[in-house]
Order: sequence, then structure tokens, then C-alpha cells
Amino acid sequence: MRDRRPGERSPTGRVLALPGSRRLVVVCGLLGVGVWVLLVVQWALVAAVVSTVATGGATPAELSGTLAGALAAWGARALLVGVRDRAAARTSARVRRGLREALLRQLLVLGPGAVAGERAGELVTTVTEGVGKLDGVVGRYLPGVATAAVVPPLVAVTVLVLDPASGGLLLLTGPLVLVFLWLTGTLAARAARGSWETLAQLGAVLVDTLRVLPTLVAYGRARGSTRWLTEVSEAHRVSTMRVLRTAFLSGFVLEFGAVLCTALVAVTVGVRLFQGGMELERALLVLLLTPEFFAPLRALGADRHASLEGRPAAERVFALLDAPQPVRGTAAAPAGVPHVQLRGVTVRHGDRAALDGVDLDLPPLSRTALVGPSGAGKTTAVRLLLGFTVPDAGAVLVDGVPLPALDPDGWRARVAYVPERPWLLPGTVADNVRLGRPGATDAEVADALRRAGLAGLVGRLPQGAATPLGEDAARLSGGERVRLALARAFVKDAAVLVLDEPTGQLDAATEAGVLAALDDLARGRTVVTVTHRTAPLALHDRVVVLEDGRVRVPAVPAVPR
Amino acid sequence: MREALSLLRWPRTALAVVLGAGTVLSGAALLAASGALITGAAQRPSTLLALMPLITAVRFFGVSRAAVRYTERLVTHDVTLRMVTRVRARVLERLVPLAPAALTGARGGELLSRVRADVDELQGVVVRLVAPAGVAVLAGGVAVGLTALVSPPTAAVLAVLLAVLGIAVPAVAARAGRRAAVAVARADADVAADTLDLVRGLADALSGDGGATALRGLLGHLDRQEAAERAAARLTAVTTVCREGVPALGLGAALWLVGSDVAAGTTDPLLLAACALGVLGAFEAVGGMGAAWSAAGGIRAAAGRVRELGERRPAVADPADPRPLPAGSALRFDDVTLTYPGATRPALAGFDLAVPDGAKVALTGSSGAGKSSVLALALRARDPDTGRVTLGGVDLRRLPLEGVRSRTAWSAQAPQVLGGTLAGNLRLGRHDATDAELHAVLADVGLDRVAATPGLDGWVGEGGERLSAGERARVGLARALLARADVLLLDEPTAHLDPGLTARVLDRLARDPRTVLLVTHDPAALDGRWRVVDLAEAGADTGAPVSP
Repeated sequence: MRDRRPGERSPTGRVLALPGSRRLVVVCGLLGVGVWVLLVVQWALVAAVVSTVATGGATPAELSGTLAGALAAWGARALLVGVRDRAAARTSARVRRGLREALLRQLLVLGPGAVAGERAGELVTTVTEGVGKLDGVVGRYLPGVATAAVVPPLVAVTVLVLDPASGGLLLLTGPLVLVFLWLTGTLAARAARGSWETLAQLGAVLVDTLRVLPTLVAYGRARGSTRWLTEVSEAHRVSTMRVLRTAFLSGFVLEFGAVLCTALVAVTVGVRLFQGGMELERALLVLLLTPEFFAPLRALGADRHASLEGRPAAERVFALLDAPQPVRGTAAAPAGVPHVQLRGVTVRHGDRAALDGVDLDLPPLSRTALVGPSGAGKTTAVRLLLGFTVPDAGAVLVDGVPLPALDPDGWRARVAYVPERPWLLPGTVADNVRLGRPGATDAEVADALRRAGLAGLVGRLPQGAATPLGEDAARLSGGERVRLALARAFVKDAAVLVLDEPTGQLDAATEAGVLAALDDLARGRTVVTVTHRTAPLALHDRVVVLEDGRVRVPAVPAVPR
Repeated sequence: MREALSLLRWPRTALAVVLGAGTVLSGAALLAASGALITGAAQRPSTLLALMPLITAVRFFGVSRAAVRYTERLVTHDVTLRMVTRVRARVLERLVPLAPAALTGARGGELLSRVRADVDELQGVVVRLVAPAGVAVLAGGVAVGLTALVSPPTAAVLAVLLAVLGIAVPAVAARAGRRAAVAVARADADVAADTLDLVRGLADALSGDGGATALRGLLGHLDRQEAAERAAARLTAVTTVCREGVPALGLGAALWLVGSDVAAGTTDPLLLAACALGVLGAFEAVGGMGAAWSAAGGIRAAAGRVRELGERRPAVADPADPRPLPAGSALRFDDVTLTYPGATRPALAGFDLAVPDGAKVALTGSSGAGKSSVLALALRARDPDTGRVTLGGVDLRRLPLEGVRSRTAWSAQAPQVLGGTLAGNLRLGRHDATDAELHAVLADVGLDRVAATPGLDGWVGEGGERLSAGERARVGLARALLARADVLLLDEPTAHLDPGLTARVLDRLARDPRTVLLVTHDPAALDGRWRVVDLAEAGADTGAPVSP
């Protein structure tokens, strides 16, 4: 789906063009034809019963066969509608699953650069609730459109054959109804959507107020905030109602047109019956078929609303899927401990340079600490080394080869990364260590845990390294989490070690223990550590100060070891 | 449920119901009048005038249906929006006495997200529950009554069928669908949790094994999610078949019963088509019941939780006869023990601390040692289980709450920034602070750059998201500095700051004439002006199994 030029179709249009959606259109169209046939049969039989009984031609008991036929046709039609709903729900589930999988794979390709900071929550919402909202597009709007495209024209033609005058009336009002349907959907719904957006903003105001409530109470401002929230909500109500009064007008005209057309058909047919230009059975059939012409169109109005709700979600989904993927290199990563260099690297976030012409030489087995105020570009440097960020100017060289030319998975297999709060899988202790190298043996995992200083902990766990850690590894302390990440790095036997505030959340005693394990891990590898604590500096042979995206010169002399 | 209903304003809600029923009945009446008109016309009366009443009725109901529907939509939206205002005000009112104790920490976050979902749920009580149910009863009742005038047996059948579609089918579907609904909800929650996990740990997962393990787990959950949704779809389809099929029975009954009367000559033939079509139209009355039935459970649960908020005992309350505020602001903790509800061991046990007027005290100790609890006690967010906390020699529990809080200024660990302007956030501390005072305090905490752009009147984003974590911390600090309080209670004011800024902020605090009680995990940054109190560590984060 990504080979289509962006902008060619609306996001909802792209959801409808997915293969699963297309199949559903065909299915719904065919079912629509079946529904039409059954509608005609059902109402023809009902008209026959009514006209015969009303004119005294027979008693209902004598017509029980016809009546049963009408009910059977009705039942069959109900079944077809049920089949349609089921197919729609199943297709919707399949399409949404496919989109979720595509989004997750895209996240893995785009890397952490795309999910930085505050956007994380938004991305999760797009994958979960956002894709969920597309149910309105695939599960409701699409079957609605397919039905509305098939059934009303067939009904109109039937009526045209039965009674050209009434048929002509339908064919005249049908397009008018469609015009107003479109108006409801666009002009009015735009206004309504605006109002729901402000409602969502109001929701945000409430959440914001609740979140800050402890502070408001502490500063004695809680009463005022209640009054303020009420005033805001009331002002919103007044302005929304003003918008809705006009917004609902087109809905009114739509309803009015449909109902009035039914009434007109009834009156004109009635007058011709009176004049003797028509027989009762045919007149009844025309009258009964007329609402069936409008029913799918009116249902479409509601379904269209569901699809409008899905539109912003579809926009976010496809914006993410369309995000340009970084070029994946193919060169194999060097086998030994490589010489890594940053040459004149500039990375921009928007109009701000996170790194500005940075030169940094990381020879094999060097140990470099990166320090500097927050926002100086330290984390960006870490991302560059892991290959998650590509420089806007300059290059990251690995043994002289630009990093983007290397196969990213190959390079990441050579780099171990230990962040401030390591991420742990919901699996077992061993699973978490094996994340470093999926093929590691039990003995290798046990050795890595021992060297990371976790032998004691594992010994105390009920099932040792096979103990599940549970939701967010709640039973582990901050120090143990970092040690587990160290074990991951041990088992990986990486050439380059990238540490981002590894002791940032630990107290002094825990920090000393972690640093001892780290010193062991660092042997035979190149180490780059971002830190604002003083204790880790002793492990390094030089300190580089970053400030406003530049390396501060003169550099601080080497730390005595 | 009473909680939800007590939020309604009955006259307007009743109007919404009456208009909704009017819409349904207009539609049914239009069909019935049309049927009667056509049958009547086929009988070829002597003049067209005989048909005029029916022709007028058809035209009238044709217009009235659209007009009533328009009014009904306006009224329901108005009722809903008024409801929004009331629900929010009530929830906020109930939360104020519980804050700050109930709203801080992990439990607080849980409570907030639940309250938000409950508010959304309760806002829909009219549209989703009361109006559909009211319309079903009113329009269904009127339709049954009118049918009974023509044919009581048909009316009885109609009543039964309306009950089947309005009550039995939704109830059975809800019961049968409970397992599917639980499965879908669980699968959704798993996918959401896994996705959040993947996004947060993306760097770790990618640098670990290229994300393969995480993706494998997620795909498994996606499969389960799809399977659960397909199971739910089967049930929806059965409900659809009932909804579409049951009215046929009503039509059949009307044709048979009224038709027999017509054939027997006891009923006017005009009424056959009128009754049959009217019965069909009446089924629209229960159209909203399926959705209402499934909404009822959620609304009831949400209402129950909101009511429970009002019944909770606040952690602290105003004394019956408060003592006047003492002159001094010396804080004393005498043999204080504090155990959080549900915790197995006390957060503080036998804690003693004297903080004289103007003292500079730093609390350190490992996480879980009770540092933040000391601040919560000083602010009187909580009361000690045993022992006492005094301000100027008077037990805090004998002083008015507002008074205690006017003496203290508190900045939380994750300082709470309100969506709004920078100035608005700072003036929470002192509402009449001048711009010059705001600029001065911002300079004190190294926020000069933020004061320049976006500036005092710049929008800081929802929850202050346009500021960095370090900047938010300093906004909280600046707010506390501005306050006309005698005691500053600061939780980790320097956690996100680099060493240079940390030293500058700590120096500013040490020079402040007021009492400062702060929590820090970096005592190395403190100089001789500070008295460092190490809370005996009782926390989990000790790294005990390690021998460095």
C-alpha cells in the first residue's frame, strides 16, 4: 500500500482501497442484489394479501400460503443482512489487524528517533485506539455505501416499471437527497466536528485540572478551578448549540425530502386510484417499495458520521506508514573492536541544531564520558552511535565506513546499549538476558548474570533465571534493572558499549556496585558513557563536554584513574 | 445508577424523550395514513373530498416527522452538553477534599485515568441510556394503545414483540456476549500494553535483537485480538437477524388478525393496511435499545465509582474548632509513624525532626525511605498514624487546613504544570505578583531563556509539554519561591538539572530567609549551609545482593 503516491487519495479512501475492503465491497454489492430481490417478493406478496382481503376477495386463512411466502422472504432477507454485518465485522477485524502489524513493523524500521519523548503516547494511541476507530470506516461506512449504491437504484427501476410517475419522482428526489447527504457530511459535519474537537479539548482541560489538583489544593486554588471549569463548559455549550442549530438543518432537509417523497407518492397514487387509473395491488406495492428506496440512503447518513470519526485516525495511521524509511545499508559490520569517528556531525531537530559540527574520535578500547547540561546533545550522540539517527551533515565512520552503509542489524549486534532505566521484557530473567543474543546457552546466560552481579538475586528467585519478571518487572529494584541490562551486554559480547546515564536513578551504594560490574564489562571494548553524575567518570580515560550541540574546547583533561 | 440519574434535569430530559417518541410515532402514523389513503382511494368514494382528511394526515405527518426530529436532536445535544458541565463539576467537587493525598503517586495516576473514563461514560447517560429507554416505553406504549383501538389481539402481539426486541434480545445478547466482550477488552489491553512497552523500549529492543522478540509477542496478541473480535462479530450478526426479522411477525399477525376481522365485516377495510403498516413503523421505538442495554452496565459502574469518591474519607479534614495560626513557623516531627493504606510496612516509623524558623534542611536516603512522606506530613496532605507534627508549636491537626497551606509552599517531584501561560502557572503561587517579580524569580532559577521565548504570556502546552522536564521542575520551584509562605517544601527540585544549575539553585535556596525543607538524592551537591538528614533506608532499591 505504500507504493501509491501520497495525496492521490484521501486517507479514508486508502483504507477503503485495501484488498480486504475491496472484497467486502463486492460481497456487500452481491448481497444487496439478493436483498432487492427478496424485498420485491416480500412486498408483492404483502400487497397481494392486503388488496385481496381489503376488497373482500378472500379471508387471510385462504391466503395463508401467500402470507407464509411473504414471511419467508422477509426472514431470508434478515439473514442476508446478518451475513452482511458479519462479513463486515470480520473484514474490519482483519483489515485493522493488518494495519496494526504494518504500523508496528514501520516503528521498528523507523527506530527510536521517530518515537522520541512526548510522542510515545500519541503513537501508542494511533496503533490502538486510532486503528480501532477505522472500524467505523470498514465495518460500517463501507457496507453502507455498497448497499446504498445497489439497492436504491434497483428499487427505483422496479418502481419505474410498476408506475412511471412514482418512479420518476424517486429518480428526481434521489439525487437531491444525495446532495443533501453530501452537505450533511461536509459543511455541517465540519461544524459539528469542530464542536467535538472543542469537546475533546475540554476533556483535556478537565484532565489537566485533575492532574494539577494537588498543587491547586496546596495553593488554595481548588474552589476557583471548579467555578472556572463550569464557566468554560457552559460557554462551550452555548457556542456549540449555536453551531448545531444550522448544522442539523441539512439533516432536517434530508429527512424532510425523504418523508415528503413518500407522502407525495402516497397522495398521487391515491388520487390516481380514485380516478380509476390504477389497481390497488400495484399501488400498494409502489407505496411499500418507496421507503425502501430511501432507507439505505438515510442509514448512510449515520454511517458517514462513523467514517468521519475515523478520518483523523486514518490520517495519523497513513502519515506514519508513509514516513520515509531510512536506507538500510548492506555492508557487514567489522569483526574486531572498530575505530569510530564522528566527523563534523550536525543533527537538526526542527530549526534547532541538537549537534552542530561535532568531531569526536573514539579509538578502539577508548573510554569516553560525555557530560554537559541537559539539551546539550548527549542523547543525540548516543542515538547516532546506535544508528537510530542519521546526521544532517557530516558522518559517523566505523573503521572509515559511513555507518548508514552498514547493515543496521549487523552493527547493532556489535553494540550494547544500557540506558538509565532499561526496558525489560515481560518474560523471564533469562529471556531478558537472551535479548542480547537469542542463541545464548543456559550456561552463557548464567555466566552473564554472575558477572553482572545478579547471582545472588537469581539464587533467591523461586525458579532461578527461569522466573517470570511480571508486568514491568515490578519486583526488581532500579539497580537490579541496570544490572540485568549489563548481563544482556555481557552475553552479547559487543565491541562497543554505549551507556546513557546508567546510574542516573541509583543511590550512592547501589551506584558503586553497578560501576564495579561495569568496569569488568568495559574490558576489551570501546566505551561511551553519557552521565551527569560524578562517580562514573572515574571509569573513563577522558571526559568530553558537550554544550549547545558543540564540543567545548579546550577539553577537560583526562580524569586520573 | 441513582448517582447517574441524580445528575439529570428532568424537564429537559422528558422533553427529549417526548420529542424522540414523537419522531417515531410520526413515522408510524405516516405509514398508517398512507396505507389507509390508498385503500380508501381504491374503494372509489363518491368525491375526492372524502379522502381529504387522510391526504391532509399524510402531508402533516410527512412534515412533522422531519421537524420533530430536528428539534429532538437539538434538545438531546443541549441536554448532553449541560450534563457534561454538571458531571465535571461534581467529579471535581468530590476530588478536591481527597487531594492531594489520593491523587499523588502511582495510585493517584490510576485514579485520574479512571475518573477521566468515568466522566466520559457518565456524560452519555441521556443520549445512550435514558432517551432510548424512555422513547421505547413512551412510543411503544402509545403505538400499542392505538393498535388496541383497532384490534386488541394485534396490540398484544405487538407488545410482546416490542418486549422481545427491546428487552429479551438485548439481554440475551449481553449475557451471551459477556465472554466475547471480556476477551476483546483483554486483547485490546494486551495489545496496548505491549505496544507501549515496545515504543518505550524501542532502543533497547532494537539494539538487543532487532525487535524480533518484542514483535513476536505482539503478533501473538494481535492474532488473539482478531479472534476475539470475530467471535464478537458472530453474536452481532445474530442480533441483526433478530432486529431485521422480528417485525415480520408483527406484520404477519396484523394481516392475519385484522384481516380476519375485515373478512368477517367487523372492521373497516381501510384499517387493514393502516394497522399493518403502523405496526411495522412502531418497531422503530425499540431501535435504540440494543445500544442502550450495552451502555447501561458501563454507565452504572462509572456512576458507582463516582459515588464512591464522595463516600471516601479524606486523608485530612479541618478541625471542628481550629486554633488561630501561631506566630512562628518552626516545624517539629515528634515520634511520627505513617503507614500508607494497603502498605505492609510503615513509610516512616518513629521519625523525629526539628526544623527551626529559617533552617535549611535536606532529606536524603534511598527511594522508599519516606522522604516525600515527610513533605506530605508538613503540608498536611496526610496525618501521622501516631506521633505529631507541629507548626509553631501547635499540632497541625488543630489548625485550619487553609491556614497550614498558606504557610507552606510545595513543589511536587514531577511538578505540576497547568496547561496555560507561564505567568498563569507562576501566579498560582502568588496571584498578585507583578511581571517584574515573575522575571526576577525566573532568573533566579535559570529560566531566563523561557522568560524571553515563549515569554510570560506564552502557552506552555497541555500539562506543560512544551517545556522540558528540567524546565517544568524549575517552574514548580519558581512558583514555590513566589508564594507568601514561611516554609518551602521542595521534592527533588534539582533532579533534572546539570551540576552548574544545581549549584546555582541550591545557593538561591540557601540564601532565602525562609525555612527550606527539600528532598534530594544527590547530597554531594549540598554545602555547609545545609543540614543533611539521612532517612534510614528501608527501601527496596539497595542493590543488597551485590558485593562491589
